[in-house]
Amino acid sequence: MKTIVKIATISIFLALMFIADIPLLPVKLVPEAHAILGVRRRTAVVAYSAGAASASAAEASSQQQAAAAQQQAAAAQQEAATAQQQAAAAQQEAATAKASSGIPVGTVVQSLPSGCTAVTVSGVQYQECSGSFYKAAFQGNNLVYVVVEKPI
Amino acid sequence: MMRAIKFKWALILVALVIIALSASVSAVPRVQAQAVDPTATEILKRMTDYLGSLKKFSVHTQNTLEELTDFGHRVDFEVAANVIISRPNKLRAERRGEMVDQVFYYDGKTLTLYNPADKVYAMVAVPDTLEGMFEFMYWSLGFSIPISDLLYADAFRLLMQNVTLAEVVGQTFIDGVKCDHLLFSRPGVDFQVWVAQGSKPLPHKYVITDTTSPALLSIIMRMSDWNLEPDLTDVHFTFDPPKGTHKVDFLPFTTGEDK
Repeated sequence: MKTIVKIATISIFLALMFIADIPLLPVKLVPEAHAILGVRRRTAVVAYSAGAASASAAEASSQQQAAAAQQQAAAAQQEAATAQQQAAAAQQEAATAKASSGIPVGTVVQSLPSGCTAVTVSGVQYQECSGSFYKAAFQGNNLVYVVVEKPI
Repeated sequence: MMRAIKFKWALILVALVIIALSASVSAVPRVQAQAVDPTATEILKRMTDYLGSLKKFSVHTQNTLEELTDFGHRVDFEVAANVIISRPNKLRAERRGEMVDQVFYYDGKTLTLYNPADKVYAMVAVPDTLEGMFEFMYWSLGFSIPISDLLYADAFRLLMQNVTLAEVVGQTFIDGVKCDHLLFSRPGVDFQVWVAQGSKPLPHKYVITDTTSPALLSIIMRMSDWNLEPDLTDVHFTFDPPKGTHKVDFLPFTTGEDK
């Protein structure tokens, strides 16, 4: 009886050794290979910026088309020109108001909108674009622009 | 009664032996699937040891970054880079391409990123070793340069982590240099290295493939113009901002998506 208990204990131990595949060192000893790990992150970043670029390009071209159409309309209908100009001016005003108040501070963009002017306030350079102020910064090694409060 | 108990124990014992045997049998194919060819790992180690032993060198790298657009089209971006290293803690890398026009300066104290076209630069205090700087770059600033994988002092250990497959694919010529072509695999990533045969086992090509998505996108790096005796007298590792350039900040880096 005693012998059989001993044998049973030993065989249980042996069986456990075979079954349990214990990872002995789950602790990370050395740094990971960065480029190898960076693949996914970089892909995500680029996919985003490429999408943003094509979206803004589409927007720009549709705006141009709209402008061209408006010009044609103005040339053809001289009677309505004054009224249309007024309407256009009102639209522009509305657009400016939207740009200056519409882009939340802290928004990060990959490229500046067109028609910006550089402004230097206490040694720091900002870009003023339709009433919004952008400050350049590095996000990783990408140069981006962050919307900031109007510098004083 | 006594005999019945003995019989019961014997049954248990037999069951345990069977379990133990089946466990050991099922473990056999798993071991065999990890085909790590020691010849391949030896060549890799020879390369990383040699690269680690070089006190200074310069190399030209031509990098292809394979990407997918949001609409599923494959686009490749090329980045050409000139890298100069002086161990233990100096590096300069000029990187030019569609996505980047940038110079890195590392003088053992400060890392500077300079975008000449945008006339902006950023500076940050970093650790005083190449390894420390690469770590800081990755974890605190959120980017890395592909060649850094091969430049660590313990690059071999780092590359071999969780490797389940290592093999010598064959021999081929890259830029007229006969190289051993090695393939390694680890969870989520395959990588290939082409190592020059002979007394200077330098890498001439390095490919990293993301195997987690069916697109199997890669970073391809070709290395040429290895110069093991670069003249460093006119090489500046410290950035001196030209007139008209502006200093900008690094945005705080948050490890979001893949942590």
